[in-house]
Amino acid sequence: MPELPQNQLWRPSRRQILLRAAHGFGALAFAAMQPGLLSAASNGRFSTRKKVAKHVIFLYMDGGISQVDSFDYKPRLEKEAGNPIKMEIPKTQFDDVGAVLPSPWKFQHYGECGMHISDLFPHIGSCADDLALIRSMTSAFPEHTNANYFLHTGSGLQGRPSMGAWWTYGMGSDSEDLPGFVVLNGGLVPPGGLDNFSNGFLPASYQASLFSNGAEPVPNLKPKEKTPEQQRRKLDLLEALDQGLLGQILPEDDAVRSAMQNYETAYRMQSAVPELMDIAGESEAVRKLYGLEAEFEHTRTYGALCLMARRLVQRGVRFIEITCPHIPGNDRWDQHSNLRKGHGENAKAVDQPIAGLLKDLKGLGLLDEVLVVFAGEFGRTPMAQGTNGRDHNPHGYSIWLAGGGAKGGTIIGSTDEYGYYAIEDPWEIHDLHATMLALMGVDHTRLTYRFDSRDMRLTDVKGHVIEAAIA
Amino acid sequence: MLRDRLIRILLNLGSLLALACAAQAQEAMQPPADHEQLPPAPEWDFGRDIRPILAENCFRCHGMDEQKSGLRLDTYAGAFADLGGTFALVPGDLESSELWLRISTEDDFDQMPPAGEPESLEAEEIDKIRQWIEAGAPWGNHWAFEPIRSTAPPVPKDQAWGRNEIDAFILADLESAGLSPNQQAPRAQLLRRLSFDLIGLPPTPEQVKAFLEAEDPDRAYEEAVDRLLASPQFGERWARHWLDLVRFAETKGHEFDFPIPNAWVYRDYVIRAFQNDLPYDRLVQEHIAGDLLEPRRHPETGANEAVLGTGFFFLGEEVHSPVDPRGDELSRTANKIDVLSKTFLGLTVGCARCHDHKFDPITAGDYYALAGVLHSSSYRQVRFETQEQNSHLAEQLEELRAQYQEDFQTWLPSAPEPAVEPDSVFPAQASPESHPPNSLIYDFGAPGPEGILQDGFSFLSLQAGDCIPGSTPQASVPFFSPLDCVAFDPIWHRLKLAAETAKDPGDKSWVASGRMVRTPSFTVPASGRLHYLVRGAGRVLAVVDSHRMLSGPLHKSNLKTWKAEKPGFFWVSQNFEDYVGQRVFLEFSPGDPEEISLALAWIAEGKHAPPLPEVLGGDWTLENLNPVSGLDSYWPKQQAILDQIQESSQTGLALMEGAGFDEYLLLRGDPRSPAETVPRSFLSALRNAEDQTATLGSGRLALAQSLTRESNPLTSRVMVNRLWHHLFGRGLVATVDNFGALGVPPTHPQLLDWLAVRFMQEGWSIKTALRRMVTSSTYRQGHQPSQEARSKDPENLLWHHMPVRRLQGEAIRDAMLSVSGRLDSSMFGLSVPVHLTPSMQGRGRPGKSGPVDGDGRRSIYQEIRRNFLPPFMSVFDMPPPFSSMGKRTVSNVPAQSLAMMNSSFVTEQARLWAQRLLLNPEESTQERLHRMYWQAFGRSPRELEITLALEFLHQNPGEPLDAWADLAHVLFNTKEFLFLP
Repeated sequence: MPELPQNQLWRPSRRQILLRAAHGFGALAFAAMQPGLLSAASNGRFSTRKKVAKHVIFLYMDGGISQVDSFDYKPRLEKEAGNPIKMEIPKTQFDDVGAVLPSPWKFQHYGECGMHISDLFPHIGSCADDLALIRSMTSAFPEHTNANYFLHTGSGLQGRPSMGAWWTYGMGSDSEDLPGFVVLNGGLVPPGGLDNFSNGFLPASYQASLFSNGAEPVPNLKPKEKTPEQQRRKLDLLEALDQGLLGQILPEDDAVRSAMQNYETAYRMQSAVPELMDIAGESEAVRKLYGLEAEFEHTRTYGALCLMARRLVQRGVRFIEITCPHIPGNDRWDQHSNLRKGHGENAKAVDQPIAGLLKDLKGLGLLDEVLVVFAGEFGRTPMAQGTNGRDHNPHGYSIWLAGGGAKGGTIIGSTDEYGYYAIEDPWEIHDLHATMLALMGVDHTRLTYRFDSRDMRLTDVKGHVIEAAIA
Repeated sequence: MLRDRLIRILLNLGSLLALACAAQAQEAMQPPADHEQLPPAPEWDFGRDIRPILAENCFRCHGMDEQKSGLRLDTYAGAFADLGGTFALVPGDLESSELWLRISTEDDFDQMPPAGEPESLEAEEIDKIRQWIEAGAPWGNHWAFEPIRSTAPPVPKDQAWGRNEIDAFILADLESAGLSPNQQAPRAQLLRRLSFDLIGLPPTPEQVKAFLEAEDPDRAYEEAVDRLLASPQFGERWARHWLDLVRFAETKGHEFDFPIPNAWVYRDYVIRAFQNDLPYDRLVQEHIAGDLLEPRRHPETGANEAVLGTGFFFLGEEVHSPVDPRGDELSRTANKIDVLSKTFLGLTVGCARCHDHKFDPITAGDYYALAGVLHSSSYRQVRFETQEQNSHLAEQLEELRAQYQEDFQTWLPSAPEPAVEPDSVFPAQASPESHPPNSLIYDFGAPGPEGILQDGFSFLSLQAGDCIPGSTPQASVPFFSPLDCVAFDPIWHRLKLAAETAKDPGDKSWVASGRMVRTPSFTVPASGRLHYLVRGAGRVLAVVDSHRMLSGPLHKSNLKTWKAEKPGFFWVSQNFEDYVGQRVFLEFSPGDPEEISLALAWIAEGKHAPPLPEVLGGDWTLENLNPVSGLDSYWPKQQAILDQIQESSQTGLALMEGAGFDEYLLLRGDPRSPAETVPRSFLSALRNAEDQTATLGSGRLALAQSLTRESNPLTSRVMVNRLWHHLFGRGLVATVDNFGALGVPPTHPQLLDWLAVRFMQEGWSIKTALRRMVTSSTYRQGHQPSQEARSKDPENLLWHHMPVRRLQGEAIRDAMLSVSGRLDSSMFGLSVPVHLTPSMQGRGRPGKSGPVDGDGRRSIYQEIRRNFLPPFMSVFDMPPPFSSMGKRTVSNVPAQSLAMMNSSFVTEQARLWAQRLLLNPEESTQERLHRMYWQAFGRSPRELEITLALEFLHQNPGEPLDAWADLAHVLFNTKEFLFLP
């Protein structure tokens, strides 16, 4: 089958859909074939929106950031500091319940909206008017791995497609040379492993490509040949031999042809990725903005990832996740002890880069089309674990959205006076997913894939759009 | 007729395309305009469209569990029954059909489903029901639940083409569609196809040459089939297909990716099973209840193979420290049921966890009936290598002991005067003090109808007054039991683990295999404390809601160890405050051999331990008896038996039978909403008079029999379809793991049934079934369809040619090893540790990476760590091991090209191949090229290929080895190497 001209992509035969679903990057432009899916624009609730988000940057706060030390101010913790907590508490992961532990950080009002944010995040604070802060998020799982899978895939078990896989399955990618779903690995692969970024039951083409720092950011990207000419020579020979097989030893078959074309795409990736990773051309001002000049090594690391995310957006990549940098001595955001040191250093690493990203996107006029999501798998307990740590708390915690049509300067929901349980407008992960999809102009109930004799959804049978988070 | 079927199939295949939007999918599903216009397909199918509406909206009150107003809608008899002059359904007559009146009325009082109930019908659902009743309300089972019907193969017009019955079925359909089959594939290609399909490796040049030179091509082909089926490598190839079904992995995933100890033993079991053509019904039975069947001994080692099948239950994900063990258990069980039902029945019973299956006749009750079966058994590492031999010795010992007992009683009156009167120790009638306390939970002296539950045979049931001698006259003294109990026979302290045996994560010092006795399950009482009346040193593991890992912050108190601080019986207490109301059972095993040997009498509950029975205050034997003299003749006899004990054994994952109990039906799958218990049994839709609910034990043996009964319409159909799928690239039922209503109906239902019947008639022999398939003319067709066939049947549903298939990752890797000369074809044993690339990061990452080339072993021997899957395999679609995957996705992505172009493994193998080619310096370049092509592709290079290669070698700047390595690398990348024509 000859390659289709681009302008015919929107009316392919069934075979061609199958074929294109399985191949390539640019070929993933499913959206074009699925007006019913994407343009809820013509019927109903998204019709008033002129623009929808096109990309997601998911800032994954691995380990569970403490809401009462960051975005959810609780004066009661100061009043009852050192006393036993006066409420019935659920079972926790470590079952080592200490006294009420006030936050070591002060809170201030930021922005015109006057959002209360702690001194952990002064730079993010300066973007408060762009944040849709949800103080009443909940998770269904108190263990990292289940909660990570839940946040990433909508299910607490291994084996479901990650958000980014759903995104590229549903919306394709605008990039010809890069995968549609990229995870920028800051150094910490979350508990549950690479399955957090899996395609699950979706075809393998939707799985994340993990980009890491270093000589070979993508596995098998670096040619083993001594010179580029030598590799070219080999690929030319390959092409000639393969052409000679077609119609003779092998049939003229779509899959065989696509496999041949994949070598050219792969060849282009070899140069596209290094070009992407090379930030030498970025201005001094941009470097400063992202914290690439910062003293703290891990700020520089995370800053480079945030900048890379912006460059990926500019190259059409649909869904980008950034994992946290590995700071020796701290176990991610998972401070079962030494809260002050651990949270302090983690925040120092990510605060300036994240604010830099938001400001840069805004300056470039991209913030409207890029949805930035800041979330961990759960929050932490308001009472201490031991004396100076906090245990896992899935019952009420804070996350935020910015850009991509999210309503800036908004606070949604609240927790009780300790900050333990979400009491006003509690939301769950399925709702976050539904909202993220809504911001892309996608009805989460219609993004389905038939597997296991069911039309599977990222939101399972659940999910309500958090209307208040949408501008 | 055929046309209608084709349309149905097309439409159903379409649903698999998984297009996100149904409406769009419908549009895309239209046959291309240049096709002959076909009549419209029926708009609904009872099983697919109507039954689900009834199931979702009516069955709760008018179904299996409840029949309000006497109406039952989930059976034909119920739906059309006379309800005292009215009828729910009158075919073709809307106005007489009460069901229609009730669902279409505006009247609140009459309306069904009633207002206020969770159920409600959409307008389009009501309309579908209207159409259905108007059309005569046809009722029917879904095809897959209908009995298998054997029909004689049709007689096609062309009598020359076919070789066996398969061809008759295929050709008859081709002929009625006006098509003819493809010509036979070239012979060399056929051998290549056969070789990859049966053993997963390319044929050697010698094999191809001999095959081509044979005078009788048909005979040579049959001989090749026989040779390949008999090859040990057949087992390796087909075991891998099976491992996809049982989500095989060697670690538990989750946070720290703890190992699943000795998972490779199961893998080897599967290889041997396929290699030896174990009858499939037996394979199924061994998976469900291999521990309860007559042992199947390995012909050389004598090991019990059968018990290893049950290990597949434990190959799933596992959480190391769940906050909610019950919720965690239900997740694990859901996965087990999912895998079990898909693998053996092609059904998605897992869907019935929260509600009755919407599309298939599977109820939530069916789901929890199976859950009860599974929860009634538990995990163990079984000493499968020595179990049989040693159990016979244990029986001999028992006989010898009976004699000892008699001799001892005779001797006793002449024994030295004891400090305590024997009468007070062994009262003729039990004194009140020796009665168990009121708070008794379990009495080892009076176990339930299942008897003592133990792994192995090392615990003996003793009645008051029984005694067991020590293992040698010097080492120990006899133990008299002063009350009914179980006691560990100290001779079994000698059991050891084979060198390669891995232990469970957690407390590694503890090996319970073959030395463990457990209680039935019970509910942790409100007091939250249990007390065990024991003698000697021991350990107990409390298994709460089947959680048994000790590797996390929680549940560590579930393991308790104690020393024999004093002789005689004493109470050991354990705290269960965190688990009140939860289900638990206790596994006891002995402490150190040097201490007094373990005996167990009672388990009681309460805030405090009950008072120690007075009679048990001391250990009479220890205090009063010196090593027994006068029984000298006993010891040599005992020693003769002990000398035969096989002390060292590898262990494998296995189930252990527990005391049966029924699981609760959980509303919406929620453990906090238990309804009534459900008797343990097989799926109601497949149950017949022979299937009974379990009374004693788990019910697994009955389940195994139900699954493999010849009247079961699914088991044999599902398996022959899997075999077909692996040979032809698509099953007769395309959805190999789902034969339910949402699966795709068979393209050739009669052929499927014919194969299924034959399969059973021929002793469920997989090799016989495969042999018939690969010797058919259908399988031997070429791969280039005619223009006419392409346009009439573009999907090749009628098999007018053999499709070209991309090789699986394992076959690609193994072929490279084979061609490079690196392949180490040794079989079985420990897995080769996974090679870690820099991108394989995360918790549980092994400290050390395995070799890049996996020691040259075949892919099936490469370790599979759930959180560190081998990237080369993943990129070529080896499924992540989360559930049954009978059909791998076949993706075609640039990452595959990158792996083939730039991965160290591939370039290394290319270089090895080049080195091998250059071994003979006398050889000419032309000769060498020929050798390469024969090794890689089983053919001579063609003119164009020689020219291109010579030019490439000529232009190559480096050393000859570099040039040949580059050429070898290119040949690995040709599509001929990656695709099977």
